[in-house]
Amino acid sequence: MNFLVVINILFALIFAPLFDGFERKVKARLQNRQGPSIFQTWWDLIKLFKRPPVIPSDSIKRLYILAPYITFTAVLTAYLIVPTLLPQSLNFAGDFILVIYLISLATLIFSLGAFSSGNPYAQLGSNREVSLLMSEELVLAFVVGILALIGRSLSFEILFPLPLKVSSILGLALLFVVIYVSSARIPFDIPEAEPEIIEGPLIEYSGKHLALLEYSIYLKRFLLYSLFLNFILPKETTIRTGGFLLGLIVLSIVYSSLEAYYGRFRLDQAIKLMKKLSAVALVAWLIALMGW
Amino acid sequence: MGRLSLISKSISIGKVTEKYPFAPIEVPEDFRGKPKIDTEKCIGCTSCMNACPPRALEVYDDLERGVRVVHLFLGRCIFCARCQDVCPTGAIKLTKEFELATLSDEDLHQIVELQMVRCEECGKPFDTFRHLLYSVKELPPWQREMLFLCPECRAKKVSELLTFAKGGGGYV
Amino acid sequence: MLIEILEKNGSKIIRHDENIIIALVSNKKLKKVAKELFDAGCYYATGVGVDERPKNGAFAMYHILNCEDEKRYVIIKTFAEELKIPSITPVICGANWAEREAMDMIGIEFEGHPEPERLIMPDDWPNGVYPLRKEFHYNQKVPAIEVKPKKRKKDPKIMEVPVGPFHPTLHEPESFELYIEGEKIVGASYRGFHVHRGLEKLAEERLTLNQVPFLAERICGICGFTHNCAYCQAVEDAAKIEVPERAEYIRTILLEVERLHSHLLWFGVACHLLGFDSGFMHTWRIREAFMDIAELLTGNRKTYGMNLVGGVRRDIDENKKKKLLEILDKTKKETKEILDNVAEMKELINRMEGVGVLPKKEAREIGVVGPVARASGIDTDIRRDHPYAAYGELDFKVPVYKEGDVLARFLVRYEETFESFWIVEQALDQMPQGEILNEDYELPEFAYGLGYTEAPRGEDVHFVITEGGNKLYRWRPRAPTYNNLPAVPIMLMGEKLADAPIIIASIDPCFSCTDHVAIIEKGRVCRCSLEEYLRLKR
Ligand code: SF4
Ligand code: SF4
Repeated sequence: MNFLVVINILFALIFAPLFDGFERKVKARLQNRQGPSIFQTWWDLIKLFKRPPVIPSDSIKRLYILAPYITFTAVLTAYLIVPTLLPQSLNFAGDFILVIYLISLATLIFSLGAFSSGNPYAQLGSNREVSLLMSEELVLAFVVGILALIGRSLSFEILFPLPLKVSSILGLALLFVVIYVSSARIPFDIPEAEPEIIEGPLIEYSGKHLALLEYSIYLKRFLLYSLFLNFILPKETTIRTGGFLLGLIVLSIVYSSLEAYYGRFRLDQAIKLMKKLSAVALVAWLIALMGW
Repeated sequence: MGRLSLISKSISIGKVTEKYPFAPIEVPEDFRGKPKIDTEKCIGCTSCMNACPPRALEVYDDLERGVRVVHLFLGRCIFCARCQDVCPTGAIKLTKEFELATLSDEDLHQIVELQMVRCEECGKPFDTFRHLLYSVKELPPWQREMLFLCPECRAKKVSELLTFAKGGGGYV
Repeated sequence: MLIEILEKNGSKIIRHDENIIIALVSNKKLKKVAKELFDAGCYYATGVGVDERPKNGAFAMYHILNCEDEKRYVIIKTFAEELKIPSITPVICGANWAEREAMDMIGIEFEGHPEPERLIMPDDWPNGVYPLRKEFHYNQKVPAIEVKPKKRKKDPKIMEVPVGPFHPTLHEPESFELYIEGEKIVGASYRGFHVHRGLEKLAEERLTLNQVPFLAERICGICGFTHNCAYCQAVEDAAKIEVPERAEYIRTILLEVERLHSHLLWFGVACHLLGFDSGFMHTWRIREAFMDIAELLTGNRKTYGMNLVGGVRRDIDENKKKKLLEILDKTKKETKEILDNVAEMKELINRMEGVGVLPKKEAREIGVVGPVARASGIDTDIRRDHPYAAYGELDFKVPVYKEGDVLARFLVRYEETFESFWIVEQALDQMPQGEILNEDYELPEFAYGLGYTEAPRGEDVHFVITEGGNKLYRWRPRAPTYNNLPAVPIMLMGEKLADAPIIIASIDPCFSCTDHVAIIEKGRVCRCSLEEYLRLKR
């Protein structure tokens, strides 16, 4: 059992950057470009890991250095609970909450580390990151509520897969959006926004710290994909593996096409949108409450 | 709808990035690339040097060796083709070549050395053979005699001749 | 009207024709004349300080104003008395930079200037060395002096965000200092002139008449050809050279091809800044066709090198014309398709609408030009108001929008793009046969010439004083961004930081062109104390 979980984690570690490479390729094709090879993200990471990090002199050093590690571990821990390639995982009551908590923790620590760098851009970026997190949290809470209502549980063991119902479709659709938002893609890449605040929180990070942070971003996206797919896929191993891989590819293509053909929102626009979305989520939650 | 039609547009067009530098790239006929001096045709007249805006072309005389050096340094060249415009013999032409990156500085220099004529009077080299031959056509006959004199000696000679003429010699 | 104002104030008219009035104004009357001219509808185009000591023993300042009502340029000349000239900045605030530039470069003192600080020269430039005086040589080196950056007070509530000198949206070394509270911009200051290239000095000291066009072309990496054209027109104006008609048409075609590529470039950049990189890729894909056109017609993608004083160097033959029309036809459809679809993307429009507003009144006072002026409701276009090249014979519309926001500037450029297609088609169609270069001219001594073009970013003005032979006495190019930049802090006030890049980009800034004017020694970095940053509004 535990051995299989390790396989899952290894799978994620290896394939998360590959999927990013794949998305880059898809985006390139949508922009009439050749695009880099799908291994490019891996090469980038390897290169970054080899570089010595530079620590800005007016940062709060301990926090600044610790943040990438905590972020990375938080995301990795979530993989113990969310199954990827194989359906096995460590499950207990309330693990759904724990996963959400871990993901938020990763984002918060990441922002905190960036904030401690002392760079105004990083501080702005962290500010934006947190505001965006807060605004999406409400929707997320509703989504959790909906899903929990459907499965009458907060444990993945029971929740996976969801039964076919109106409320589950609505819940998953909302989850689809929330995943998009929290994986910081255009139009919601406001915290990073290269032309505005120069990669915001990442601006001062370098070398292996940067690599760790980027790695955690890829892992986080991959985790959210897996989470989503788990809600759909049946538990029998044979169909599941194939379906899982196929689902990942489909999700990647859909997400990256959306990303390639959107402009960036301003923070206030994004927050307004999230508010509207929470209203929708509330309705969906009520539907779930009715048991439809 | 704008978004979707843009996506379909890009899918229908496909890749537009060129394979360059792995595949060669075409340039049009009149492309202004690296200038090339034809050593056979150049007469060392210095017009190109006077026209060249960034002083990529310099023409100077090496008096010791008695040669005139036409020196083109591509590092300064802006590919304006003014030299091509003004060259009287068509010796300098811009080619279609544009890949000039190189590891050695030498590749960026073109040097043409032209033998110079020494003045019959003072022995100083003063012009290239080729330029003299080229300009001989335009000289009035009475000056052709003084072809092999440097400008200073020529001026001296002319003034001598003039005084002689004034003296009533009827030489001219 | 203009001439009356000048005559009433006892100025001596040096030149008076349908395009240009040059008048010598006495020091005492200068401010009054300037005020009256401004009230008569002139805006400040540029100012030129000239060291005229070898000619008449004094320094002179030329203020060049463009009168839109009379469609004429007015140049008022004053001599410095003991190096002093009254400043006209209090009455026309557009003169601010030009006067400070003359102060830096020539050493004229402007009495009553509100902020007589260095603008162009770096802080470590020695005092009392003025690079555009005749005794200073283009290859002269001066030692740097020590400067200590001054301490600044900090307001804990306000965060300072530097945008530049290196910033992914600027692509050129300029720096804006934004003061923000939360995400709101409460102040902005600008410090530029980091890329001094000493072009003016080079032109007057080392280059000859027909070498300068190639230098002028390198003022800007995007709209070089209009600079080159403006320079040639200035000299042609000074020496009264007839340019063959065919050459005028060829110039027009190339100018418009340049505008097309420049506007498409801008659309791409705007998309990129709004996070829509695919739009960037699309517009730049189309733009490539214009680079190919340029390569076909001139032999190079960007530096056309087509102009000489008196005409152009290469003809457009039937073969090229046919190819050109083919490409134009195809790109026109594609441009329309892409830009229309981009304009349908709501999130992009939302980011531009109502953002970075420049009201008409401020726009006029600063003297903004080109699309920025037209987006603020000022109906101005040099191509129509002061027809040069073949524009007088062609038909085109000048789009004007009243909103003054980024979207309006987007739309002005959008419409202009299609007008340009139309102009090129007309010009190709109407182009007469004949000569393309007139080399039969003589350069007069100390004659004034003014060349103006409507560059993609606005009005380019080149002022030339000839020396005779094949030399220039003074050449002063003025790029449009020089007039547009001072408006940026006004646009930025009160906006969100997230919008700053698109606002700055909305004037289509071209910093290096603006900075062409001074000399900096190789390898020395300009250290600017923040204290001396131009605080435009705080
Ligand atoms: S192409 Fe222009 S810059 Fe190059 S050598 Fe000829 S004249 Fe000089
Ligand atoms: S012949 Fe041509 S290449 Fe030779 S010096 Fe004269 S202009 Fe230059």
